[in-house]
Amino acid sequence: MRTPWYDKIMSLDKKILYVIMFIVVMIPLLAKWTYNPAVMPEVKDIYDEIEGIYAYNQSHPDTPQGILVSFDYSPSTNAELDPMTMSILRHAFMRNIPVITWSAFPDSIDLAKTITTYIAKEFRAVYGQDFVFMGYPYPMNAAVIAFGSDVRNFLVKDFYGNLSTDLPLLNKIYNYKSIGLIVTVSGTSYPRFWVTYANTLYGKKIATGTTAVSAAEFYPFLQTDQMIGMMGGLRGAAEYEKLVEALEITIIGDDIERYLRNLYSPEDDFPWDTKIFAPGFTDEELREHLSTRKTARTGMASQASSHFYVIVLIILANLGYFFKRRAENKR
Amino acid sequence: MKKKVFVLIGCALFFFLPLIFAQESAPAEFFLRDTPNNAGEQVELTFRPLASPEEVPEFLLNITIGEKPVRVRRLVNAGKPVILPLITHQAGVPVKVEVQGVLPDGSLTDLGAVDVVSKGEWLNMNSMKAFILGLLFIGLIIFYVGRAKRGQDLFIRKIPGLEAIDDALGRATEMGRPVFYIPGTSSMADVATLASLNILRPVARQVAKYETPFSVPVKDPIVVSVAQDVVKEAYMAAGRPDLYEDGIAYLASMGQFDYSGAVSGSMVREKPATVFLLGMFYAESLILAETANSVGAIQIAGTDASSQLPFFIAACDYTLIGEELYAASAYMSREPLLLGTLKAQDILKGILLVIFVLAVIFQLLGVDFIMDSFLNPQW
Amino acid sequence: MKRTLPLFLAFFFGIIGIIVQMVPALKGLMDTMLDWMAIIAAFALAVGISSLTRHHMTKIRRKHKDIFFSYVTFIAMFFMTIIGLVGYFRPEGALQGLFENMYNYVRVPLDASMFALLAFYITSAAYRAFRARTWLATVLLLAGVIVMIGRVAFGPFIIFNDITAWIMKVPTTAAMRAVNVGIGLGIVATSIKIVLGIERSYLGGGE
Repeated sequence: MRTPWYDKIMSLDKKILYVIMFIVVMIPLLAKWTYNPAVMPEVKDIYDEIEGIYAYNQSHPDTPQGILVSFDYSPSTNAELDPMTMSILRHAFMRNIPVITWSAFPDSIDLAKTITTYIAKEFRAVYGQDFVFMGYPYPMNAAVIAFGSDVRNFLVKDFYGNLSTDLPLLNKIYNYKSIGLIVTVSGTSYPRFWVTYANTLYGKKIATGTTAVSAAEFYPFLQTDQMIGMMGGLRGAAEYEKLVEALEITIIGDDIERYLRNLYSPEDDFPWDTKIFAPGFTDEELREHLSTRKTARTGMASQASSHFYVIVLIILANLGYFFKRRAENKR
Repeated sequence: MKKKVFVLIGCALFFFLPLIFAQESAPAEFFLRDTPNNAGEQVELTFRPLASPEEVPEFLLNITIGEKPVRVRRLVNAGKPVILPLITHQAGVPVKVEVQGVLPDGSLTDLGAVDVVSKGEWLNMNSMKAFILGLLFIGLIIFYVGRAKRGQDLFIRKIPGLEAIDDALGRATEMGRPVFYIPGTSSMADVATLASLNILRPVARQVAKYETPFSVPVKDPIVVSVAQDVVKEAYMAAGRPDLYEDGIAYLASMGQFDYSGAVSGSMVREKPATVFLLGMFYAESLILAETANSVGAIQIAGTDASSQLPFFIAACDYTLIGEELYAASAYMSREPLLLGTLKAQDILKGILLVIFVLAVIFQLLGVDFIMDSFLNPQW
Repeated sequence: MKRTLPLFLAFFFGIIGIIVQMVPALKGLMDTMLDWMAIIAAFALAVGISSLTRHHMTKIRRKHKDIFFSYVTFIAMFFMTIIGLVGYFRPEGALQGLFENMYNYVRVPLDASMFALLAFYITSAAYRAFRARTWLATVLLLAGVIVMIGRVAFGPFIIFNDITAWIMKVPTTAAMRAVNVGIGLGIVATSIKIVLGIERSYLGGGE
């Protein structure tokens, strides 16, 4: 007797499912499809906050406000979280907002340094003036509290060994009074820590970027306004990426490649600190810089297609189950 | 006449005194106090600037803690009060803070000094609520254990995952294939691991009775030695010490994904008929559960990691959700002592539920004290 | 004695643990206990390595059919230990670089690959588990599908976006809280049982 179709569906070999999953994930990545997400209010809130800081800085050029970006994740979650820090930093540098970054774990120092300088380079940001990287403050809670008075006393030197008091940016922005927003990007429960200290003690605004799995943990903080916004998972990163891209088009224009190519000319006499980054981009680097503007949305295309694939599978399995049961009932 | 003079003077004082004080009001108000509810490792300075940032833009705090040299901290006048914790590390350390105001022209003005000696407290009032609740819980446990000892029957609802254990072990015996028991991937400090080891004993005993091959791959070295002991005792209790060997419970690997790789590998090679996944799990939960499923094993899972529960529920045949894991050892042994604690747990849960509901009702009625008294850490 | 001593220790340190939380002046005691824990944990590494070695030695001695993997384990373990130790004491030598490369380009990608397998496992788990067997299972199925579409919603599916947000914020959070309250009580109950010596299965015997 021939096996009925529903039985075949019900006992489909897993290997077939896996191979199709592999193809479904790979095609959008290879074809460089991008996904255009609808922006959720919790992500838009972060964007608006940074725009607010920009507006404030326009009207108060002598006492600007900066943002503190804390890299609270280790490399294992960077696929989801790197696009978030990159977009946030792009937004800040584009708007000339002073940026302070640091990392909460020893194994994320390298990651934080690389991303900070990588994005700074795209906007001719000058180390010490437009941004600083403070390395790995230890213990973290002491550093967070030190920011309440004067962080230069606690972090005497930055990551590169410069005295904090020698850095023009830190001489303007050295405590919470001049920090407009704290962005904590983390796959752990670190954002809770920021809420406890920086928000509860000093009333600072906290924005969080977190992995999709942890997002459910932080919704209660959004409800109580202890966090002003949240980017949840790759989806949240894609939303922010989209907002920043739109801004980039208004400010810089469509042709980012030309912009980057012409950013550093050979006759540039600005004394770049090559310890931080070397001016100019090779073709390879240019390609990379352009593709990181779409990382989250390309990843989301992959994620979207795999979600739909799983949904199709679920429907298929349920059809098989339904017809099998009906056939059994008839018998 | 005299009376009038007094009244006049009184009135004058009434009107002018505040003015005198107002003129003398300092640019800042500050006091130092020992931080309550700790061992004296910290004192805190409460600093309230009264002058506007234009009058006094900054303050200098000269802080002396014990024998240490004076530290100077700059405090920007943000117009808002600040609480500054000062770490003394131990009780009995004198702390002194001298405050100076920095005027707009850069000159300094002394605003006085405050001092305090750090001291430890004997009772942490912040933990009082937890302590009282804990005492109540212990009281309930003692009460119900007593009742259970007197032979009173305590009802316990059916937990399908635990009912299935016997059948699952029987199946492995019939098929002549091994049983795998994974006690989570956390350390002994996790109560879920302890709960899992509590279930390991009856499972191992049954396995020994049936003479089924048994394997307990572990991720934590301390858990290995405990698991070895538990299995050994269980084999002895079943009267089969001859079947026991130390290799039954072994350290597979100490890295998260190395462990899941190692265990998945041995599952694929040894094709267990039954796999227990009980304890604390992280991202590796689904890898283990799906591999077990792919080799045709019955999986009985249980964890209190709420983010991993959905994976287990989707992939496993039976899942113990959260507290069911903790109830398992009482359920399986039917020992009155353990059943008594289960009952006490239910009663406490009932009490908490009543408080929740009351709090919601009172909050709706605009009476805040229940909510407030629970949210406020101090009593 | 074999049973009494561990029970007594569990009781003694359990009670101390509670007291330390209540009496801050005894914080120093807590720190000492934590130091001891760190020391004991360091010894546990030796226990772990000995357990692993014994397990695989037994397999090799008995000529188990999977003997190959036991050899792989030993070779990997000794290789990494030796180059790691030599590299540590001679950081200028080639072995230090080899160790780092082995870590960065062998171990880390292997780790990431295991993690990435989740994508496949989720597929087959969803295919098997999301069946409309009962009406409750149907609710789960529908919620799952809605959230899956909602997380990647575009164009005509955009309505799912808002439904997903609601599902995550309201029912999920509520259920999470309920499960967590139960878990919290379970943890407390188990801890008290262990401290009071009511629960002793973890010591091997209940009798």
